[in-house]
Amino acid sequence: MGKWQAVYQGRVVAEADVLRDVLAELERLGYSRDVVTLRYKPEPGEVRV
Amino acid sequence: MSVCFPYKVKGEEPYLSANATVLAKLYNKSDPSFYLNVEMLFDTGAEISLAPASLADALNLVLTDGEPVTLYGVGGKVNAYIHYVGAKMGAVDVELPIAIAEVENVPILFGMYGPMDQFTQFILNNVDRELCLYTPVLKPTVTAKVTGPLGLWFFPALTYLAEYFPSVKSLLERLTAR
Repeated sequence: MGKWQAVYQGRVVAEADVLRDVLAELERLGYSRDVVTLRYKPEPGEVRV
Repeated sequence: MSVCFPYKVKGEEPYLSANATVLAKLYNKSDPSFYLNVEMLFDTGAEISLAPASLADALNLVLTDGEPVTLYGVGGKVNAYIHYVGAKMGAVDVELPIAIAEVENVPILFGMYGPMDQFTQFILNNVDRELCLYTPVLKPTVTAKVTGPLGLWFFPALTYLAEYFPSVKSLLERLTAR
């Protein structure tokens, strides 16, 4: 299974299995949610349908 | 008006696949000042956009205030609630119905319900590796009536300028609304 990531200025600043944990991590790190891009990064070989 | 997103192709021939995503600023329509930048997988096979449960909290939405729905897919069935959020993609700003699941382990998808009405074309340009979404701007009958002999250049020029100047955009919307 891939990871949810928060990307700030091209750099991954938070990563977790589920979106909720990424949002919590952002809060802990002090990032405002509107300055990052949230994305799901599939693991190699993972095929989404 | 259009908005385009570059995409990459993965895999090896003959099993190439496109990982085309839409980058949207999703916002709660009751508070447009706050938004989330989200990469959503462009999925013409999805009847509606989909997101994990925590998106509701993140946008200050009460999950169960949405319209309840059961979604069926390859992974089985998922209970969700349909909410109508704002989605800004470049200069394009639309209302996006999105099913927010009761659970976290679902993908985030840009589905067809909503966008099918709001966009006139989806073009997956596999030469330039670009996904483009087009919104309707002109109503042909109105164009002919309003522009007359200027029709060859007036509306295309106005459409171009509208992407950069809100006042021109507003003028264009007034003209095409007639």
